[in-house]
Amino acid sequence: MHMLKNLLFSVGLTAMMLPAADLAPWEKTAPESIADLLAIQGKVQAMLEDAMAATVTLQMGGSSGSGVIISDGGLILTAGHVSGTPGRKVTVVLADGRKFEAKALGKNKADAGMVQILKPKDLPTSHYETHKTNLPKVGQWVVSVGNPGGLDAKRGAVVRLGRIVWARPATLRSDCKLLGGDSGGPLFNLDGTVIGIHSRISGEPDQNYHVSMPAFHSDWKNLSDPKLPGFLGVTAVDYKKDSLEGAELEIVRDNSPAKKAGLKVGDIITQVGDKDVKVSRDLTTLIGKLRPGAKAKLTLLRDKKEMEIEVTLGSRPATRPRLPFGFPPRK
Amino acid sequence: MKKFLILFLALGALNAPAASSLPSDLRTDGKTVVAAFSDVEKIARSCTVSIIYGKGYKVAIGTLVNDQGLVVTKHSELDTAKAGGTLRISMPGAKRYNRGKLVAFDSATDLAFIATDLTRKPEYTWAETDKIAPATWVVAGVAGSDTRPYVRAGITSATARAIPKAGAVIGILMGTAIKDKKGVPVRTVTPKGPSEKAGMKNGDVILSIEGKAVNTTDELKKAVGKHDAGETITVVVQRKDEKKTLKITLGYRELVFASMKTRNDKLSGKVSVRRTGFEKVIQHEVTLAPSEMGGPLLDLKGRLLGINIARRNRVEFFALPASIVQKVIKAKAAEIAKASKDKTE
Repeated sequence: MHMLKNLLFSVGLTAMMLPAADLAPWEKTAPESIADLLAIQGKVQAMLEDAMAATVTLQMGGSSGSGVIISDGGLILTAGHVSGTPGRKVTVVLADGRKFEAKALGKNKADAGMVQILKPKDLPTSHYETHKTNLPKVGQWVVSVGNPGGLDAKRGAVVRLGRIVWARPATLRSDCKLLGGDSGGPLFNLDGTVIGIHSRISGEPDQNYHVSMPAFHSDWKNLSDPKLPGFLGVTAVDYKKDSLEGAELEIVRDNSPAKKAGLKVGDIITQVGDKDVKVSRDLTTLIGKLRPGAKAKLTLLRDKKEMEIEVTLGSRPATRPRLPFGFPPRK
Repeated sequence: MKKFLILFLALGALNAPAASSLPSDLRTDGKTVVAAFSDVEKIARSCTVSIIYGKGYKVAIGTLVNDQGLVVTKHSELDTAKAGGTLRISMPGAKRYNRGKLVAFDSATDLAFIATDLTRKPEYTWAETDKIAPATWVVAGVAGSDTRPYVRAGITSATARAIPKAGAVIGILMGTAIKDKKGVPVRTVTPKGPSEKAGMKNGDVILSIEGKAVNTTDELKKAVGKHDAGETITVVVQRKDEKKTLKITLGYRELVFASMKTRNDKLSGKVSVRRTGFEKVIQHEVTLAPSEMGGPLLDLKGRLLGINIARRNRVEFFALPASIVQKVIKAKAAEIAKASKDKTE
């Protein structure tokens, strides 16, 4: 299968390299004249207005990135390192200046991420590649939009033109020039369809990486409706003595759901609901299966006495998000 | 599974790199793509010059603005180069080196004018409007060599607009002014900052800025704050029993104090010593080094849209619109004519 794909890919590229009289200027191996360049410019200018309108700035605390609205219901595609911890608060700033409250949805290992606008109203939207496995062709012209350096209302989003350098299942590389703050912004084809999301930059301004659309499609359900794990706020170790097995609490975090419910260091948890806890890992698994806000009945041993405590689970606190763009500058 | 993967990678390597990755000549800045701009490159060759100090130290690009050899460029790049020696101009088809003389400059726009003996007539026409559609192809003259292209291309990439002035500093930590004593003592001179480069020492006492006495830290801040980064100001200091006059080229607060540098600035390499304080700029994406400012920005029809004026970061580049450049040329005409009388001075 891999070989087949590779072969098809090579064939596609070879076709692109062959001179053909009836190719559109933007389909040629390279533009050959001012007329070709003007034709490419015309294509870009025709798609630009809608593309710019749907491109947004995402603000999360002190950091900021970009995104693109793809449904009038308010679904935004962005980079996973921009949206960050699922559930966290995001402010969305549109090109027309309107602001919307939103929350981060899911993210995945390919750096795909989604954000949901909470009360969507009259939103501009962009088309996106809906075919589940389509990748752009090497050499294809692409348009990058984003907000390098964050929101600048007078400037607006910044447009860059480039070509696809390579396309792998989860990642695209283009020679569009990108910088911090562009992260999460859309990569369009010349028809104005989103075909990627800006993910990482390198030390060279024109060697940058985008999340592919297949990386979104393969994971769409998890990204758009992430199942958040419940959170207790304890660290436990295995407990085994005589016939008694369980998870012994070593740390109970301050301000955690566990602390609020009265759990103490040294408590030995033996059951969550009616499920047995035999090792500490069981506790993690069982709590993780429950959702934030759910009530968990814990059976435990304290000072050799069995007791039950009910805990209202929370959600995992936001960890420090990974810095956008992971490459150190070239000295 | 693992074996299969290794096999796949090995096969990939046999095909690669040509099969899987766009050859560099075909990239947006590549030779083959740039060749499509050859009509504009011809025009760029008629007006783009290299500006050189001493023994081949290239400090900026310049643009010929008439057939009497007047070249316009970015002033702060000449000013900060402090390269010494003769100012020379080179362009294709002319003598290898032509003497140049700085005849005027304008702080508001950061433009400088150099009189030369060049007689070539620039082939562009001046753009008649500043209204340029977004995503319009633009071509920057960069005065390449036999091996490097003479132009680079990209598109206009954001709204044309004013870029407000941003805090300029001389790069010191001020000490407390002593009552009844003149001047402001310098506690620490920032390493590699503007003041250190100009020869300031810890313990110097700053007496005046541009001829105006400063006796409090507020007065000092105010006197410096009037100027833009990239401007050179005269500062008189007291060092023990001596008075010294220093010429300090101001820098941006966020670049002079390393701890204030943003991530994007760290990723952007060298940026223009002056990148703010412009009445109006055209923003484009053509990658230019700070020493490649001052050249022409042309459209596909060979019209001069503006003069490249700043590298803000590695993705944002500014050009001063043609109308502003023409306005300054007009305003400075008398000064330029007077100073040009003796070009060989």
